[in-house]
Amino acid sequence: MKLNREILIGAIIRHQKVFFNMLDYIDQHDGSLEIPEQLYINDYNRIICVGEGSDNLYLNIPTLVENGIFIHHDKNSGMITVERVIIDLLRFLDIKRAKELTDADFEQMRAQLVSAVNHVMAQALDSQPYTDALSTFNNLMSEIHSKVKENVYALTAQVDSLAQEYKLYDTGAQQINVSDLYNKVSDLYDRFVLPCYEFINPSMDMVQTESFSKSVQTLSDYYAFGEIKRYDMANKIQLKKTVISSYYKDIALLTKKLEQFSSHLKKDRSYFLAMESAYSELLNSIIPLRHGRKKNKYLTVDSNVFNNHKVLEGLSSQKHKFSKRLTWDNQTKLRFKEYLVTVQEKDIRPKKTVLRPLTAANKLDQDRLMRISKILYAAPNQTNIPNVHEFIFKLLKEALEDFSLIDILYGIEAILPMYETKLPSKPTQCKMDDGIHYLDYLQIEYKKEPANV
Amino acid sequence: MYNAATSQRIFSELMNGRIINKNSLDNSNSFTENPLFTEIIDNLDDYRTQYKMSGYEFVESPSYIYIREGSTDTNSLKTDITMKACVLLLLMGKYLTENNYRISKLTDPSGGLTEADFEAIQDMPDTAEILEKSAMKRDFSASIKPILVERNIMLQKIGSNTFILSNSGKAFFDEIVENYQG
Repeated sequence: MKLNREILIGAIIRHQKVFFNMLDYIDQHDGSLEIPEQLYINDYNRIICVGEGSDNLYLNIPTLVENGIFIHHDKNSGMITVERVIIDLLRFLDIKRAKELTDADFEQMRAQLVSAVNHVMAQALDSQPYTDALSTFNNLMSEIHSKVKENVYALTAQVDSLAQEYKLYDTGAQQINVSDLYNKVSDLYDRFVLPCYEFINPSMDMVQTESFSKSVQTLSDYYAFGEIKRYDMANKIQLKKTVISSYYKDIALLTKKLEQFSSHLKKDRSYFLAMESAYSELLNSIIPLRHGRKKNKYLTVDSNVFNNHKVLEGLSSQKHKFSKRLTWDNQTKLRFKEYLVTVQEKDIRPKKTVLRPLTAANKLDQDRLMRISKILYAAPNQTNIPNVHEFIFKLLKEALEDFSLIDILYGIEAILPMYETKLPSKPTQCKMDDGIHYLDYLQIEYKKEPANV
Repeated sequence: MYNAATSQRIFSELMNGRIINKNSLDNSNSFTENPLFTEIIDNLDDYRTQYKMSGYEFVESPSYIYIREGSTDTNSLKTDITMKACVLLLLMGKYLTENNYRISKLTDPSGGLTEADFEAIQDMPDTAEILEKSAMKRDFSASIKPILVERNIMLQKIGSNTFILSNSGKAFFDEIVENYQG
């Protein structure tokens, strides 16, 4: 269906969201004005067909192809090529989607302008080629003006958007990553703002060729100072140059703003990257300790990971090392002499042992019990034993190499059937020890009774 | 001329293994000049001599001072406290980068780490293992006080359970940026 273009453009503007999606797709890909057929069909079904009126008829693919909005529809690859005018219109409608000019764009404009200026000056005045060259120059100046103006608007919008993000970051919003933000700022500055700034900078000097400002100035001087003396032309050209150069201030402001963001973010980013690096070094030093064995599983003070941290080195409480401090030379004999003096001065006393009571629950093994019994039975028969405990103590201590006080207890048990002992009329409490244990006991005695005949 | 009363306080601080920072927090939680630091700087030669005679090295930085055993052996400078402080500060630094916080959260008197932040650090995936491998038996929050606050590496804000870095704590992070950037 053939339609007037204003009807189509009206429909496109009414459904600009759909076309902005197309524009975003183009910007996110290689920049060629092609979009996948499926992308448009999805949006067409989802948005355009749902709306009222005849826009669904105007904006279907065959109609758009027939009326030159889509200049090519490749059914094999499923790609649609969009008319440049429509893309420019969409960018004009939404300044945030305006395409920033890159270094290559500016270089192309500068080269075209230098060539146009040289062409104007090379032609004979008022000849047809001169008029054509001058017309080309004027067109080019208008195009440059328009492009620079759009570019400044686009860059201002971009910088404002970044300023919002920076503000959020500065107020502590956690969703904004310092590295990403720094990269965005650097990218905008290096790729788009700086080339524009250099393009319109009046004092920009270029080697072996001329900058935009110098080239236009050359043409202005050609009219004003040569034999031609066409001051009106020189003024017109100066005016056009001034209009374009006046954006220098706007760009300078953007540059300053971005430089400020960049400077602040650079510090934070350095910290961010350094911190990540230091932390991963700590993590890496832990990996070899995951061996599952019981030894060497902890980080130690001399682990290499701490070599880069010297700020707090040697920090420690000094109070527990509160002794006198002398800086001794390792080779000196003074240390040994000092040691001897200290030893001599020191009052060395033998260690005092503390006797412990004999435990009541101690039990001897059967072999030892037999040995004790045999020692006691083998002893000569006694007629008088004033202290039975002491008697056993002497016997067993002489006979047993590993004698201990506990042997006495069994010795008493073994000797009682042999001798009829008794407590003296006045019982005496006695104590004996073997150097480790002590035993408190009541003295018992044995006296052989004279036989009654 | 040195002030005898302040000198005794300085002695007590240094001998207990504490750092004397250039700034301390006043009652309104703003950084103010630390009188102990000022006293040392005003009588620097006297204090240097005092600790040198006692066998200590007087560690002087533009923003903090502490003492350590005088030794030429670099291995003896590695102490348990240094190791644990490093580990705890690195965990804090990681917490900031992980959550897109600026370093000013740790250094500005209006910021600071709260108990909730300490819990979040404890919950980070590697914290428990790092603390265990560094022989810190207590959790992150409980380790902060004896290792960082008691030694003036971190300062507790007045009237709140919020902690910020002192001059020596900041110096630790400045050193990281210097050593690890690029």
